[in-house]
Amino acid sequence: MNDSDWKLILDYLDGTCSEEKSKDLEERLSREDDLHRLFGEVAKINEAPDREIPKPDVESALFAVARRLGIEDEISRKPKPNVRIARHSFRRRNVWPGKTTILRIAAVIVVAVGAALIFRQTMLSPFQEKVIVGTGQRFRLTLDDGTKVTLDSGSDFRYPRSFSQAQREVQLNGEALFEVTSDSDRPFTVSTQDGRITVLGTVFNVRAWREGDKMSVTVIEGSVTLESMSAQSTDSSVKIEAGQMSVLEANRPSTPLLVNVDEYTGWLQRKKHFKNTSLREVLDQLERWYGVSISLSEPSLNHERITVHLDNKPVNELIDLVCLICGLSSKQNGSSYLLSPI
Amino acid sequence: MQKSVNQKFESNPTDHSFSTCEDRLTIQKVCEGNASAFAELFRKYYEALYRFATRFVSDTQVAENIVQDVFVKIWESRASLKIHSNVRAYLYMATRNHALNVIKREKRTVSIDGYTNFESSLKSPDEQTIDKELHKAVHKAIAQLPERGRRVYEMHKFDGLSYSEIAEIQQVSINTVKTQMQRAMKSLHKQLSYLLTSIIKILIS
Repeated sequence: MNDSDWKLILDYLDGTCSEEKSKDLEERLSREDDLHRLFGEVAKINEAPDREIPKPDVESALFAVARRLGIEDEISRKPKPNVRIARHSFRRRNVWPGKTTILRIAAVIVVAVGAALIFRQTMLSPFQEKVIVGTGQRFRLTLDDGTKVTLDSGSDFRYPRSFSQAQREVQLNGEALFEVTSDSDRPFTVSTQDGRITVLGTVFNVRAWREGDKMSVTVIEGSVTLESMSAQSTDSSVKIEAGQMSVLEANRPSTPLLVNVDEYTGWLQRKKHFKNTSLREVLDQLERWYGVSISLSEPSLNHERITVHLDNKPVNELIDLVCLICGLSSKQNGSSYLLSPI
Repeated sequence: MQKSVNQKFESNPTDHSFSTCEDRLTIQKVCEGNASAFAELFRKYYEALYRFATRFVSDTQVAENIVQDVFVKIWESRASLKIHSNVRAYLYMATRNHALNVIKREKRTVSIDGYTNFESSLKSPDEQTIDKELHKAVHKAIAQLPERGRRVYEMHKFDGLSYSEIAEIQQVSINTVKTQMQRAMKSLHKQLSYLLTSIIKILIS
C-alpha cells in the first residue's frame, strides 16, 4: 500500500477529499480487495472515540479565576442547582456514524451512489444547550431574547444560546410554561415530538411528554398556532386564543375550546387535574414530581382511565387517593411503591 | 504572525471552526476589559482546553490549573494582547506552551505521558463489546506513538483541529503535520492489524 493510497484514504475519512477523488476511491474499493480491507481497518481505527476523563466543573473554575483577577462581581452566575446542563457544541470532526461494521462498509461501497455521504461527519448545530430537570424539581430559565420558560420535573428542553436573526427555535419533551417576549420579526417556535407551536409574543403552557398522552397547549395571554409535526399543509394548523386549549389527536390539533387555564397551569403549584387519563400517566406525573417509582402488579391496570385531582400534598396521601379510586392497595419499599388490586 | 485584533483575518479554507467570527468579537471585548466576554470565552473553551491539557499532564488538577493560568494571563495582558486570526488555535497554543513549561519545571512530579495513567485509573466498561475492546486497544496503541506524531493525531482526531491550526500550534509546516499524521496512522494500523483481522473473522463467521 503506497503513500498516495494512504493519503487518499485519510483525506476521504476526513471529508477533505474532492468529489472526483472520492468517486475514484469508491470505485477502486469495490474492485481492489486489498485496498478495501485496508480501508475498513483504518476506518475502524478512525472511529475510536477519545478516552474518557473526568468532567471539570467549569463554573467553579471560572469563579476561581475571576476571584484571582478581582472581577468576580462583573460576571453573572449561570443557574445551577438541581439541573444538569449538557452543552452540545460542534467540536469533533471525523465522527463515524454509529457502530458501522466492516461488513456494512463493504455493502455500502458496492452501492456507490450517495455512499460518500455516509462517511462524512454528522454535524451538531453550534451552541445548542440542553436542560434536563431532575425529579421533584421545577426549573425556570431566561432565554437570549428575554423569554422566560418554567420547566416541570423530568422535562428535557433544548435551546440555542443565542437565537438567529430570523427565528427563535426551541425543543421540548415534557411540560413548560412559556412567557415569550414580543418580537414581530422573529417568530418563536416550540417543537415537540408530535407538534409545533408558533408564536410572536405571549404566555402559554405546553404539555408534551413523549411517553405520555396527547400533547396539549393552553394559552393564557396572546395567541399561538399549533400544527402537527406530520402536517402536510398548513390547513391543519389551528390558532389558539387566550383562555383556550387545544389537544393533538390523530395528528390533528383539536378545535380550541375555552377552559379554566388554572387547571392546566396548576402544575406550577404542584396541582394537577387529570380527566379520564390513563393510570400510568398519572403515576408517571407523581414519579417525576416526587422522585419515586410506582409500579403495578398487573400491567393491564396501566391503561385504566381515571379522573383525579392532585394537590400539593405528601406523595403517600396522593398514592392513597389514587388507590382508593382504583380499588388498589399500595406497598411501600423505600421510594418504590407497588400497587395491587385489593 | 503578530497581527492586531482589529485587522481582518483571512479565512482558512480547511478551517472548520464555525465560531471564528464570534470569537474575534469576543476577544475584542475582552481586550476592552469586558468581563462578561471573558466569562463567555472561558465557558466556551474551558472543557476542551482542559481535555487538551490532559494530553500533556495526567493529573487533572494540574491540567485545570494550566488552563486557568492561561486565562488569567490573557486577562492580565489584555491591554497589549495581540492574537492572530484564529482565536481557537491561539488558545490551544497558549495551553500547549504553558503545559510544556509546567512539565519542564516539575519534571519529577508531573507525568509527561498522560495516556497510560488514565487507562489504569478508570473503571473499564462492563459491556464487553468488540468495539469497546478495539477502542481500548487503539488508545493503548496511540499511547505508544512517538510524542510528536501522537500529539498531531490527538489534535486532529479528538480535538478537531485542522492541519493548519495544528501547524500553527506545534510551530511546524503543514506538510510536516500531514506527514506525521500519515505516519501515525500507518503505525497504528500496523500495531492493530492483528486485532483487526481477527475482528473481521469474528464478524464474518
